[in-house]
Amino acid sequence: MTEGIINGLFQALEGWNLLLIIFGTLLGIIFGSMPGLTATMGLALLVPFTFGMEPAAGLIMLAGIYVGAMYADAIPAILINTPGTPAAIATTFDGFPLAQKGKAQEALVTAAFASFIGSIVANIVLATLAEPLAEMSLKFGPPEYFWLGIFGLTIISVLSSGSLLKGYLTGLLGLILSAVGMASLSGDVRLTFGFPELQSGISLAGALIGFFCLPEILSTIIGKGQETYTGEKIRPSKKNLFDTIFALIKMPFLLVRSALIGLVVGIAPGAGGNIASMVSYSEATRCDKNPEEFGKGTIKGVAASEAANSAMAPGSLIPLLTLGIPGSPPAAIILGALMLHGMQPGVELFSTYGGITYTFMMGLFVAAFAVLIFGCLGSFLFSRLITIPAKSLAPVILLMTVLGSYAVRNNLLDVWVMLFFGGIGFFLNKLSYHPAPLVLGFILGPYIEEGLVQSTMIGGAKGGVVFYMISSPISIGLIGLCVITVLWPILFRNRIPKNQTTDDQKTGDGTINADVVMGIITLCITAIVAWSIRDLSFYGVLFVNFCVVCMAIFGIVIFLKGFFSPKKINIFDHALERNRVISGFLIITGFILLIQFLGFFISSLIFIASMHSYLNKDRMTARNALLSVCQSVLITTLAYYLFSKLLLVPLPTGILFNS
Amino acid sequence: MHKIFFAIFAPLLFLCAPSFADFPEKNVVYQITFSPGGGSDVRARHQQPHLEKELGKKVVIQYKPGAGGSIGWANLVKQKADGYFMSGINLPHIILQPLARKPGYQTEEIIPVVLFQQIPFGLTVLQDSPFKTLDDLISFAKKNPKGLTIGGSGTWDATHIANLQFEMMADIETTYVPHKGGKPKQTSLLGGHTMASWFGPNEKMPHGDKVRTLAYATENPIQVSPDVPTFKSYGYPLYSSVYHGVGVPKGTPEEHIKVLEQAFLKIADLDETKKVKLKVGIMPIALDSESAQKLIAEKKAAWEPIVKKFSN
Repeated sequence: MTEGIINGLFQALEGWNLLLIIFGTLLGIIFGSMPGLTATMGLALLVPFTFGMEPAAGLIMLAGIYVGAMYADAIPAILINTPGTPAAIATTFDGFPLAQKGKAQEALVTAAFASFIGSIVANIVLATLAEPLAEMSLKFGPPEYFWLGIFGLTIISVLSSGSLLKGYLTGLLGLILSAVGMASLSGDVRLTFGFPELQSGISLAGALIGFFCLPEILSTIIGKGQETYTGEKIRPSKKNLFDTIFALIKMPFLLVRSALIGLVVGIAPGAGGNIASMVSYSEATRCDKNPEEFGKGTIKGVAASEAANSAMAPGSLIPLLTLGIPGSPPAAIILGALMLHGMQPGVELFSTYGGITYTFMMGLFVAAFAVLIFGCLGSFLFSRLITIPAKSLAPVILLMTVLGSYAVRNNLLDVWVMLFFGGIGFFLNKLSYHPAPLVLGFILGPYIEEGLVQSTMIGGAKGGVVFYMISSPISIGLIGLCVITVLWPILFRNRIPKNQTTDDQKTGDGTINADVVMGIITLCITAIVAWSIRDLSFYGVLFVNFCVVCMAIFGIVIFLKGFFSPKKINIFDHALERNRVISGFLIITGFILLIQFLGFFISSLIFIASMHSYLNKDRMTARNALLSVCQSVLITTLAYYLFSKLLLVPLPTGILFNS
Repeated sequence: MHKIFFAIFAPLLFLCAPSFADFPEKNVVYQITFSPGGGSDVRARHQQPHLEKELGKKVVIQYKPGAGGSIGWANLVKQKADGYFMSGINLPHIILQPLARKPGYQTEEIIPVVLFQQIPFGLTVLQDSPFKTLDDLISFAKKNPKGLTIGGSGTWDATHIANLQFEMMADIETTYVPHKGGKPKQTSLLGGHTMASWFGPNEKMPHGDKVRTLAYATENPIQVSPDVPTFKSYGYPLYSSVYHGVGVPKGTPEEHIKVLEQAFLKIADLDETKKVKLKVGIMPIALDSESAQKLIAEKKAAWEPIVKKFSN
């Protein structure tokens, strides 16, 4: 094996292969950094090109893309509060506040360095312990998945210890949202309200963009009329770069722990990737001497999240290479590429195709170095992006949100869903509800449901469901972790970060009793859900019923809390802000409507020009108007070619032009 | 003046008589109803260069994944029926989905152009399982009603129907455990969470000696594992396979279907195609449009009562 590794390393460093890794990494950085473009899309784009290459050469290029994207999803998370992929949600918690303080470069360098360490640690494990770890991953059965999901949910108590009640309530909303569509096991169609297209459920990308990206633009850029994304000056320098790296070197424990968490969570096929960074973030908060720093902009938070999500990538390849079971969507594409070359992962991969496999693994290793170099150099460039005037930047970001949510499944309904969630996310933010627990619930819902349903079936066959669910050692361990995590904020009240992600500061002089309103809305949703699932099969409603009961309880509690200790708040500071937000929202709505009639190209031209003029506070002169038009032509054409010609996304042509 | 007149009307003549025109005149869209990188995608990528050679036009692959393929098939039947839009189709998916729920299309709205591969299912157990033969498994199930857990890929899919038919034929009751697709089904069996599972030969292959297939639901022993008996040889006439092919919306002109059909049949006949499929445990077939339609009608008639009986 050692020989295999050394040969693989030489192969990966050979001139042409090295170039391919670097090219792949750069491409991965581009795909990871644009909200809406994903690692999965980048990989799918290049798979056909690998067909004509040597298997090893093609595969290491894909390795580069995967590793590059896993770092680069931190870039939009830091700069515009939008995780480039779901795995970077936790990066927004501290990355965005850092950028707001003018420390975008520090955050970006931290992301690059932590990704590098995460990749290296995970690759060492992948190269040495792949097979025993794969065996371990098989031990994860339905009860273990159920408890892993529940454990993931309990992280909410660490993430939102400012207000546990609000955190758990949003988490439950996320669980309900995840139940929309066809139940993955029982096949029941739930909560689609007659839209056949909703049978595939709500797209994670759409929900992420809606909950993270849109509210930020609506409230700061459109509502408050802020002229750039960050109020602070940003001055990237070499000193910043080295200071950050030295600061990180002084916390090896945090980095390695985060990497190991990412790796272990990433191995559990399918479950891990998206929550690895959140688990690692919550552990970092818990173990730190100054937990109150988290959530306000500390490089420790960014490092914990990024080290974990980059370690997740090699982790998800372990079950792929050894068992042929991909641990994440990008790993599934790599499986496709292996199959294209006639290589069957599993028993043969390390024997018959050992040379190629080890080259691929070493490719991941080399790509980690490429990420470090590009990340550090790129931090000078990327951090300046948010100094671009918002009137120019915001329309582009909005266009990307629409395109991105569409392109994931080539479905226009996903764009409407994104917009809908954007509106909801805006109000939730104003009511001091953080979107992270909601997305966490949304991601974990399917695992909890599948675990619950399958455990009930298998436990029933074995004669005892409850015993089956709590008898395995892994289940017991996970239950223990759940209990510790839930009790932590209660037992160590003095050590919890105060007002970490949500706050109850806004008290007093508003007009809306937020808690009472939320209580009523929650109870309404609960009633609608309970009513609409009344005819479904036992297994189809098992999980939803569980959510409905919890939601009803939380709804009543929050209503009573608002009733007895009212806290009145205002959604908008003044009427002007309200009008701006509403008109901004209407422009975006109009854009999506127009797409249906005029197709993508023409609507985008109109949208970018009008959004640019709307955000422009200078007097409307002929010169400004011309600038708007030029900008919209340039951006639309670029976006059109990228998506339509390069990514082969069937962009809507519109009813009017559909011959 | 006459010349101008002619220049305007001559092209119109062609528009009036499309049957004279050669098909295809422009690029053909090949829709994949599953995610990029999956089995359907890899297959289409293999066919793409050959198809382009046969048809003389570019073949554009598009993805429309979701809800077990039904989002894509609902999209297929909404397309113009001119032969320029085709989609990968899977049996029994396009038969069972409309029977079990409202997926946004009807089976009859999709005309199969060709079916080019078949993956039969077999009841598979871990190597060290006490079930050495199918009879061992059945006698265990008889002694322990509902005590035998059998994994499958989903609800109202091929494996689920196979399990229901098997239960009826062998007069047993088992606990069928659906999974979110084929991969989790495999890990469940490998980890010992289910006692047996419906595996295709392509799903068994990566695991080498770790798993054993007791019997395949085919007429004759299959080419890639000739030693494994069939359910038929045990006296249970159970036939269950997934078929992959390509379909077009209803109303597509016969002659256009013919062109696509011939192109696909030619590719299916290549030695290279067969070798690639057999190597990963997939059976190459070449069913033309007519035989495919017959197969769909047959299967639908056989399954409709089963779905009716067991749903609700």
